Amino acid sequence: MNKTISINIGGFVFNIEENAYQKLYHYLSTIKKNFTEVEEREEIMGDIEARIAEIFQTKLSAGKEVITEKDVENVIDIMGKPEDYVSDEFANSDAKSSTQKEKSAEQTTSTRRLFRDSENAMLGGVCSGLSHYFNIDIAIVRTLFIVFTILGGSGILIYIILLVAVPEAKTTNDKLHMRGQSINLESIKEHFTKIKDDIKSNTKNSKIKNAFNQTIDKGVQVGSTFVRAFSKIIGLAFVIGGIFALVLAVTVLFGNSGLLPMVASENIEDLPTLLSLLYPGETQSTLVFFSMIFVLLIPIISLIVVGTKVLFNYKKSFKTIAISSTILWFICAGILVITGIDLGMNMRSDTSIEYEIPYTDSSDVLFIDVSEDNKFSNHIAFDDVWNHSELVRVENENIFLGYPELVIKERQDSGNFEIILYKQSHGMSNKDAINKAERIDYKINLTGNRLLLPPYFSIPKADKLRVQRPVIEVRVPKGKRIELGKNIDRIELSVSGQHNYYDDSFSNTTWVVTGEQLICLECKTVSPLSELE
Amino acid sequence: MINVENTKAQMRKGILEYCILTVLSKKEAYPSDIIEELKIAKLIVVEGTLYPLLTRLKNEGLLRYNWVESASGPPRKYYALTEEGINFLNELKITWNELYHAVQQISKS
Repeated sequence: MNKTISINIGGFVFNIEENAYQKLYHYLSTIKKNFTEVEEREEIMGDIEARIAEIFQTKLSAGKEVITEKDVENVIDIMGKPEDYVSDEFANSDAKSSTQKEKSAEQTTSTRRLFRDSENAMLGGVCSGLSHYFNIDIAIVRTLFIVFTILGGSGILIYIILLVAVPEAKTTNDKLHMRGQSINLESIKEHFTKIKDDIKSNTKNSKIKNAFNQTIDKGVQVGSTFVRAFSKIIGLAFVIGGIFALVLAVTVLFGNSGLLPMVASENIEDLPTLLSLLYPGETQSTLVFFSMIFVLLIPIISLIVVGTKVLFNYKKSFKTIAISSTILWFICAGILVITGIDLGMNMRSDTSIEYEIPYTDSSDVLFIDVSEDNKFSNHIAFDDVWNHSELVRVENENIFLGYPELVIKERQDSGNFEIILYKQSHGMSNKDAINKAERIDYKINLTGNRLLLPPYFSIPKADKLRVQRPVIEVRVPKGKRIELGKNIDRIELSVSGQHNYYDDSFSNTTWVVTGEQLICLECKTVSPLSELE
Repeated sequence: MINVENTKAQMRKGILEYCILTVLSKKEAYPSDIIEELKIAKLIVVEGTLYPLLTRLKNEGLLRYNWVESASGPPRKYYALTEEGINFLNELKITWNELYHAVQQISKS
């Protein structure tokens, strides 16, 4: 027993089984979607319904009063599947109104669309689809993806984005759009359409009006083509910029810093480690790291997705994802702000402790050089500037930092050399800062008149990074001189009152106090005049 | 890799319009009749393709139709060529012959 429904098709009433009705309804509404223009659609649908009514009539007889699912299937066999009602192929011959013309222009320019090609897929058909869209060899696309994957793994990310954003070519229609219209009889059809247009414009006497209309059509067409081209450029810029930002962000976040030598040196720990050295707790630094990932990647990925949508005429919207990722972004940004404030509290006070290094040698020269060791300094090239933050390494619960500074000052009297070590640090309180400063380990080696400074210092890992740094101050009395060794550029060097030396390197230079000032004997100065002085 | 079926379908669609006009140039016809003729020539198998095409050709002024009462269902549309349609078909015939010979020529050599 089946429930039946009474329906009206083409002005005739039929009793139809419920499941048959569902099928027919679905069939007709799918066909309807094929036609965009209302007037035309009504007429075509009317014709189709009339024909279906006729077929149904033949199915019914004295012994049969109800349309069954089988009858509907039979109708579909006769009439064809929804995709057989292809509509846009003949649409461009109409020139009724400028809007129509514009629409058809859009249809012809956007015939090629981006789909994933599952038939020639290695994974998800993304590369194959792209190769169809840009009409380039699939090997090139795949190579590019592999190259981007090696460069910080962004290729994989882009692949996943495209895998989600781009639909698979399922129907024949999709596949044709994916490849663009095929070569075969396309030209013939165009030829026919052109002849048709010619005849039409000849038979219509209102040539002036036609010409006028055509001019307007042309204008609209050119305008919309221009806008489209412009938006494509923007889309392309978004995608390219996004990909670059993605490569950079992924590199910074996931630590292949060796690949980008301009960003960081290889002697710096990766970002998660750096954060754990900076933030008070493990949970906090982990939270900060993940917040950074989202805060950086959400806008970049949105940029790429928007660019892809503009570039490939792709219309699907990701409202839910967009809203939730915006909320996520704000949450993460909030976490960064709050943890940042907390970190600021941990750096609130700063201090500097002074240690005087006893110096007894009575000769006129003090040699200062940076010591060599097997830990870090022997692995760097000679001309590497090894200052500031180019070394952050964790070893045996200690953090090794390349941040020491040597300050050379002149003494106004004629006593002996003075060597003072300052240890500086920030901390939550003054006491905290003092404790942290005291724990700075900087091993100065003074033998006779030879001062050897290590190029790095260390602090306990538990102390965290609180801008700790040692500063060595050497005060030079009148009549005595300082000789700097060949490795001196491996630490930061500042000489009081001297800003006018052009040299990048101060290795193997000699400094004397002449008059009120420290003068470098070998350095190039700003002007020949000051050299004469 | 180009799908053979797709190519065939494209080829058929290209000359379908021409064939419909040719069928109608012989006599007035109802869509089902047109289908029968086209089915013989293996150009088309389902009626669905035909309806949008006929409506467009009519809207372009190449076809007209008469309502004819039917014994078994709604009234039927019988299509015929207009003056413009006849001119159009003649143009197409010339082009088709040119193309036909061109293809023959190319296939031979």
